[in-house]
Amino acid sequence: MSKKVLVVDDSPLIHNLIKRAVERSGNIVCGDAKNGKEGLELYRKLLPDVTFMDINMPVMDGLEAASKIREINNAAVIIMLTAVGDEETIKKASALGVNAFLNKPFDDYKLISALANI
Amino acid sequence: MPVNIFEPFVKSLSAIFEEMAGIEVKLESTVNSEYEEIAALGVVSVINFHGKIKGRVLLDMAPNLAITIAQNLMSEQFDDERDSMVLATVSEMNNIICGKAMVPINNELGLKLWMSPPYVFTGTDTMICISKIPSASFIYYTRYGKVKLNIAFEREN
Repeated sequence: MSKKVLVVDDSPLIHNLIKRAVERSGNIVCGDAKNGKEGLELYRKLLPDVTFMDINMPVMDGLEAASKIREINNAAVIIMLTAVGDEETIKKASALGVNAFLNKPFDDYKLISALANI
Repeated sequence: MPVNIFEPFVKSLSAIFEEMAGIEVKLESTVNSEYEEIAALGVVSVINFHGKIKGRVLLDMAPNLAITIAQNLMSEQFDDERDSMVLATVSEMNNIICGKAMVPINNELGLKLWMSPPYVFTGTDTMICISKIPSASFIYYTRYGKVKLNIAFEREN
């Protein structure tokens, strides 16, 4: 069964790359948001199976958005996307109980594998 | 500026160009300066940093190089460096270069750096006015045009 995926990232490039890989793998991108605040609103509305969430974004960052999504649905599946994989960032994201990390740059194989392993 | 601050950015640029876009870069020259103005090569992305030190990293590349990278990543044809996807590509590339560089800086030097989301603009020979912080520019040659990495950091007041 295909999964509904929400993409939250401030880069249109990342949106396009994820959309292409997700659709090739037989899943569906049900929505995309360019910051954490928009992502949170779309999460409430769409209730996706998986959310790809960037960390460094304007307005509301991905860590805060992930935390608020957890308040809505403690079982939400969140895959963090990050260019900054330093210990402190990983520690903060792990404390939120995110399901996986995907370091940028990623290729289609890594992204589809992360999606399949959830 | 200490080597252990700018070296991670320099290493990251070469690695990310190869990994993301399949483009080899060769260092052509290095310039240390205190000027407040930089003449742009074409497409420029800037990221600001704060933490125990503050600064900025400017990634500037020739229009043809920016277009080629976007084409390599998206498998689509682009004709104009002002196309939103070309601008997004340069912006995200700078984001990834800086993100990768921040890992050793934060883990090994404990500088607790965080970076702003990138901004991007275009304009060949546009003069970019920047705050007067001593900076180092690394100019690279690629078969599609030049790319410049300008790095500037100073202590937080």
